[in-house]
Amino acid sequence: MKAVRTDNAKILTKLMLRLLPIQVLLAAVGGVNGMVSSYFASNYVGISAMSAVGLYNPVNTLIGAVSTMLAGGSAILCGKYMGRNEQDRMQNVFSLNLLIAALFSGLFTALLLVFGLFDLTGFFTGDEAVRPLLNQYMIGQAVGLFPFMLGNQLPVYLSLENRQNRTMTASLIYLGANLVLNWLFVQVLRMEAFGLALASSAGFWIFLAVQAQVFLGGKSHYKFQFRKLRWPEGMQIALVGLPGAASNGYQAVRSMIVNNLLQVFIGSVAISAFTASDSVLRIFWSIPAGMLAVSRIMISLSVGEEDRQTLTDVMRVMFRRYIPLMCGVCAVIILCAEPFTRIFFHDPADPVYMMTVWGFRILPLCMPLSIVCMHFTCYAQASGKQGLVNLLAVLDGVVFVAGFTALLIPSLKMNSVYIANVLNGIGCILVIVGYSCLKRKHIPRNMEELMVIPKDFGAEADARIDISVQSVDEVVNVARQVRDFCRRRGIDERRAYLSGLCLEEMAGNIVEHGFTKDQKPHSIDIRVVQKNDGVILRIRDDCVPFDPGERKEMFDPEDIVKNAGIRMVYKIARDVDYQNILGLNVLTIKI
Amino acid sequence: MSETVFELNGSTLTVKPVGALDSITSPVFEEEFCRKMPGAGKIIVDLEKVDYISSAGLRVFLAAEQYVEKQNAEMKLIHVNENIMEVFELVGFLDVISVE
Repeated sequence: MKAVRTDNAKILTKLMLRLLPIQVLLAAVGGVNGMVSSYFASNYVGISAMSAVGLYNPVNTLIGAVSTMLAGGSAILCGKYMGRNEQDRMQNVFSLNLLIAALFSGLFTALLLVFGLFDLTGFFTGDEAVRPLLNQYMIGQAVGLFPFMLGNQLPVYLSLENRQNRTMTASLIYLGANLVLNWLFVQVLRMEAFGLALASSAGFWIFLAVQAQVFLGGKSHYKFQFRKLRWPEGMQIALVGLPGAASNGYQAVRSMIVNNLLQVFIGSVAISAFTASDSVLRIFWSIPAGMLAVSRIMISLSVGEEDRQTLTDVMRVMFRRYIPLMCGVCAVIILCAEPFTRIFFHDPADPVYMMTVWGFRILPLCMPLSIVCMHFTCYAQASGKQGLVNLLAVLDGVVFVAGFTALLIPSLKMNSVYIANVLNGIGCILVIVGYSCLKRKHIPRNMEELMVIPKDFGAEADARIDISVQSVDEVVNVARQVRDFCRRRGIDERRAYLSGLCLEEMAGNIVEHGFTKDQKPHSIDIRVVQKNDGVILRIRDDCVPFDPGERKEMFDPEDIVKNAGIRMVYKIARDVDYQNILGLNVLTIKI
Repeated sequence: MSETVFELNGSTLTVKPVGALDSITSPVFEEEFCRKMPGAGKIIVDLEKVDYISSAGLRVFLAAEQYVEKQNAEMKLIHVNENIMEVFELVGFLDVISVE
């Protein structure tokens, strides 16, 4: 049966735009914190300490990559299991994720302490003035590795439970704490490099504590369970998260190659210009990063639910909302090219000035292109298209930018690196389209073909109904359609009757109570799927959180009048599961 | 739902709803039913032609049962199909209302 009408895209658009500001802010916090640390390092400690910080950067990148790998892999797996309603596996991913992160942090902490305490940092630098500072810095950083790694895993679960405000609060408190502690340790107590590191470490403990409160206080569905751990899943977390972490490595290689080319063909002035424009754009990159963070959860959930409609709708929202939004931001950056340049350089006659201006004028163009590439890479990751993921990671990470820069730099000089970044975006999109052509053996004609969604993904079109309702009348009509659908699909009369009944009771309840709790417009997205000889009803709405299971328990079981509909459904259904995912009520009923 | 048939024979009111008693049709049925009930000493609801009842329909019968109890009258449901009977059993409806 064809979908009669669905508001799925509308609900998704609202959700994805609602979640975006927080995710963007979260992504931006890192950049702002970097600026705070740099400010104190450069103004109150000195060049040697800045060198120590710079020398520690690769270590930080490595630890960050491991943390990203664990968080990214867990987010994708957890979303998938949540979509399949596999609670045990979600709990397992949560526990394993935290345990592995703790083990890695223990290992890194031990290494940093050994390197710092026993002055084993000779291979980082031969500079006698810098090495003691680096040792101090490492010891200070070691104090905060545990909260750093754990603190970066928890946002995954808080987001899944629609508690991203908690992470936002933790980030803002961390930002404030970082500022105050840097002032205290570095400016007042003159603790130099150790103070710099200690300030950020102490900040990370606070960051972790604020988030962990939710889990320790029993407010979260996620519980750490050591006894039931299924260790092989740890490998799965690493494998799924690896491409995300590998891109950090690829980008480091790319930076090295590009810096070399700039140095050889233009000189160090080019690196200054590129670094200047890049440092400002880094804050704006938090917008695509935030967009991806929102979409990642939706994509992995849809893959788990085998929900083709939502999967393609996420991509449509990306094209219709995120890309125009990003284009608007890019236009602002381009218009502000000269004011941004003046943050760093003040003499328009100096070659570095115009080199930087052109950076601000050209580099933003790759942002909208990158959003497309990031979304498709994320979908490829979640759906196990590892070949495409790895190909894009290498091409996007190193090959395109380095290759185009090398090709263009003799003629275009400085602008070559900027243009190469834009060509990289175009190249990646062509790879995505090419992959689809290759797999489908023709040019993709719609989103499903472009995404190369397998034909057997999810229920066939005639084995499901996707429909949205906004009134009780519509609910009753859909309940009738569900009964007809079941009969047509050869499902016995009893199940057909009960399926229609469950739908009417639960969806009707939402229209009657959920729609009237606030003044906002709402709709219910209903999905009915025939699976084997059973029926699965998924009812998703964007009203205030409402768990029918909790409501059922609130009334006397002997009183058959109160909440008769809800209690009826719980008695009829084989399984009823309620989840609040990203602020949406998702009710799954198996008949 | 097609129009319900109400037959009054002496003090016995026979009610014959048709089709589905859902969230849309039940309020209409309830209104008609409430109008016909006063004065009836015995109410027989024949569900032979009803193939679907949701909680909205159940509530009509529960309200009617409360009314007839107050009036010292009696009500029973007859010709209930298998699926509807299962729902009645599940929600404990049979403990409250007489069903044949």
